Amino acid sequence: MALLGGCATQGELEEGAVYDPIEPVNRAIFAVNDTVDTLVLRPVAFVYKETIPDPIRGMVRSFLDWLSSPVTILNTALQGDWPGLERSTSRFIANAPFFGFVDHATGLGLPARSEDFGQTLGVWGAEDGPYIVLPILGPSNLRDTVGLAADFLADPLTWYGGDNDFVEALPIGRRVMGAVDFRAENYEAINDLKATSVDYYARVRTIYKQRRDAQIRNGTPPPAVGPSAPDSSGEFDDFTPSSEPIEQSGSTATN
Amino acid sequence: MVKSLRFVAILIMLLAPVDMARADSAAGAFVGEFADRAISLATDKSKDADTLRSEFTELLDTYFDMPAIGRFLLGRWWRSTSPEDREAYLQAFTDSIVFTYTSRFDDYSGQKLVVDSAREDGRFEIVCSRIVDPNNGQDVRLDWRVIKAGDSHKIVDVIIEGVSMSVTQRQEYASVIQNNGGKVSALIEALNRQMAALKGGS
Repeated sequence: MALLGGCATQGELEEGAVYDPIEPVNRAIFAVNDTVDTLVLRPVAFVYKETIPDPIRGMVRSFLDWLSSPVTILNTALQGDWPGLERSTSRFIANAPFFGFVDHATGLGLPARSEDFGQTLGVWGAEDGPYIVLPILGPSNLRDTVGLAADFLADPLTWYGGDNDFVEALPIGRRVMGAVDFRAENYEAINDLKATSVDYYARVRTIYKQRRDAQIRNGTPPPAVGPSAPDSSGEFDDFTPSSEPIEQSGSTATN
Repeated sequence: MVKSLRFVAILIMLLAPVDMARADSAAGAFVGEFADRAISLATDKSKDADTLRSEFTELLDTYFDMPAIGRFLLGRWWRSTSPEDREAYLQAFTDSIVFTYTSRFDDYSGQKLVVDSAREDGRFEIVCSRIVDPNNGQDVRLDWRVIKAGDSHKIVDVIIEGVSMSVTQRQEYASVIQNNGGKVSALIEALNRQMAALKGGS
């Protein structure tokens, strides 16, 4: 935690910007990941989405979600999110009869919501820390990388030996499958995201941050930043609608 | 008589909250109106691509504060940009938005926008809504940042599952400008280059 607390420099950033002190390194890894996506993940996801019927893909997704239940349950508990704990535990039990392949829980009003230790650290007040692009795993930051390692260690699947090849392959297999499924589900959206960007790296970097912030808040609106920030995010403080006059001179220029 | 009075009283009690919710959310109705018009444009198969683009541009100008959004996206660089570059940038930015969205019109398959609620947020109102897809169980959450403009409204941002389109574009543009020695002209060139590539590829 001391490690995460030492990121005071984040406060000096422009509102909404991502703290990225190792940008050149990150960009290089991002480029490699993007090549892997183009050469491997994207074609595999395309074949997966075109050849496997929708209901079967749904069952696979539901199974993967069920496998991550212990980690989600543990993290809702650590966050002190009692309604969330009740929901994630009920989901785990409701879907247990078919090892998660049949998703009864969503129909019972218990929709899936994944919780991880990165989010737990966020709830506890840890800042993001520097942005890090992990090889193969993709966008992250110091907080979420620590979270990833903690979730890996806390996951019973990591430690469950078993003498069955299927179970032994699960820890790696589900990550691979999860990546293929995510890419297939968002196939057009991700292609579009790249095709319409002028700086794909910067676009993904800000989307990652905003998405994680939203996941940490579990969809509730952000708290007011302070008396100087009349709107919640603070990012729109300098928004001037067309109906108001715009100051013409550069007298208050910030740069 | 007493009976019918009681009936009326119950009716008023039942109806009152509904009416209040409606009166509360002129911004919500405004967003719903935009969604309806955008969907009817997206499903209009009688128009060619150029007509769709020009009508969608009009629609954006009516419901969104486009010049203010464009200025906001440029952030601190707006002030130091020449009037000619500002104009070229606003044109390139609008073109890229219009092209991106109209080229997705064919993907439309019966999704509906359901407006849930609205809340105040400083000078703005946040309208919360969901895209309900009849072919898919999972709703997509969509929030709209709306500002009062005279006796009507203007949309200034769309937030998809917590990701703000304006903030995303702003960060991306800032990165391009920063990596090109603070030159806004580099951004304009990049936008135009990308637009040419998209048009060539479609």
